Amino acid sequence: MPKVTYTSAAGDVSVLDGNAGDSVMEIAVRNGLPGIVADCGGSLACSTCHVFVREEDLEVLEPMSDLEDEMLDGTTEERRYNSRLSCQLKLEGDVHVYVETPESQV
Amino acid sequence: MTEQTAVETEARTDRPVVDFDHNAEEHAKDPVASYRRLRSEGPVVWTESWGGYWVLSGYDAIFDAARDDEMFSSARSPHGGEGQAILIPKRPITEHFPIDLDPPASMPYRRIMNQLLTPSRVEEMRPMVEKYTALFIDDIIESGEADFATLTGIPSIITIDWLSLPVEDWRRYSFAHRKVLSAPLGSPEYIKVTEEELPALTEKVKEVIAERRRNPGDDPISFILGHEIGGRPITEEEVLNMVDLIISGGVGTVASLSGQALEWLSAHPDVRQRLIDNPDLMQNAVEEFLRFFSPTQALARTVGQDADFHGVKVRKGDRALLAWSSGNRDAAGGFDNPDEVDIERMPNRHMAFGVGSHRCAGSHLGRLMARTILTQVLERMPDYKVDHANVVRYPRQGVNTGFDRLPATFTPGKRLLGERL
Repeated sequence: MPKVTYTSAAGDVSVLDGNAGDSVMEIAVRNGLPGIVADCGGSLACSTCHVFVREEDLEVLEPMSDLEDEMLDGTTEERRYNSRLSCQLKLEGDVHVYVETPESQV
Repeated sequence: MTEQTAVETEARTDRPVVDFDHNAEEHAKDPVASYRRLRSEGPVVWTESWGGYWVLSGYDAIFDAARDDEMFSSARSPHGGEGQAILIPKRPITEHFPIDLDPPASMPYRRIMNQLLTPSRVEEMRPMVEKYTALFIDDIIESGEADFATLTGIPSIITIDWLSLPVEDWRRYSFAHRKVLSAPLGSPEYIKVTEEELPALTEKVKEVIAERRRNPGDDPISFILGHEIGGRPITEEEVLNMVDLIISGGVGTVASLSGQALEWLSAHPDVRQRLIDNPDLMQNAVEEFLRFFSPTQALARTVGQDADFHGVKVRKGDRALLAWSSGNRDAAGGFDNPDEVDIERMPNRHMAFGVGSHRCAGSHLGRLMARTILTQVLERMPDYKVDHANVVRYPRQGVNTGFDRLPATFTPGKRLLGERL
């Protein structure tokens, strides 16, 4: 089962378990994690599920689509080299990824 | 046992019929109670009004429908008459892109909208938003009494000025776009606006687009004109389709949200005082006002294929109303005490901006305008009192809720700016 460690901008750490096929966004939302808003529900229409991915996890994740790339230009907190939209990060198997959530999503 | 369970969970073949019409006066009297009654009947019910349509009132049903563009299409189609498919009854107006299209056809337009309304671009608009809000308050602050419904002009003038349309026309846009959603269908006012005023304004927008094609500037219309759709330059008609959507999306919604929040805060002075003492709470409070008031109450889709959906059998071509406002009061959305305002509610996964590929592209701007209006009113008129007995709501509240009259009194203050509206 996939596992995600979320660290907030304030340094609060939450370690959450998901099911195979869940996205990093879905696991957060199901558990009421405040750092991920995901207004549009995962349709690449809002840029409010922005996360910073730990460098060594970047390559285990699905590559970024052109639309995700464009939407990352519209995040509230400016994108960095390790920015992703967590609705696009579907997890399979026993991966454990680490992400940081920005100070604000809206 | 398994077999029996399977039978029980199969979608019912008959339609659970309710007596309901979101455009009716009875609904407008108390939309919250009206949707509460519907939710008690089931998350998806059928009404025979307007040729028949499904009403999706449960949080999960609305969320799932809005996320599935193939099953619940926004595109124009022959089902349910001519015109814009996101409204019931349909409205025969200029096509709006991207909302009148489904992915993938909608995507090139959506991408342009996204770029136009990113948080950083919206941040650049902050001085203009603050200036116009101050000017509107200047206009009323010396008298000690005012109709707060006039503050609905703020989003209108901001939208028109931002688009670099002739700014002196803002009252016409404000009036027309409010009336088309709030005046009773078929009333003389409604007919005048839809048959004369909106087409006249559309002609003016067309002239501006043609002019920007010749002389591009640093403005949103020129920005849109600079894009390609599928490898060819965007046409002036397509630019009109986008600009008309921006105007109709930006004018009435913020007016609805800020008016209702101001009325509620007048009736709840304890919460108002907390916001005055802790301005940092405003951002979260606006999210809660979005959920609680749901300025855009409901929008429609057309069913794309026969299917079982949340316990009923929907058929291709059926019309369906997605009641965001009802989902926002459904405890299934994770809202404790959904009928109470909690300005510190968190998490708050409201659907006030819609859900899915057509979710409001202007949400950052809408939030900025609403926050600015509420903040400036609380700063400059902290003791305002709405005359609740003489408030007049829109006669029709199926699409947008809001006020035709919102009389208030307050301790007079001084103007801030030298210029006037």
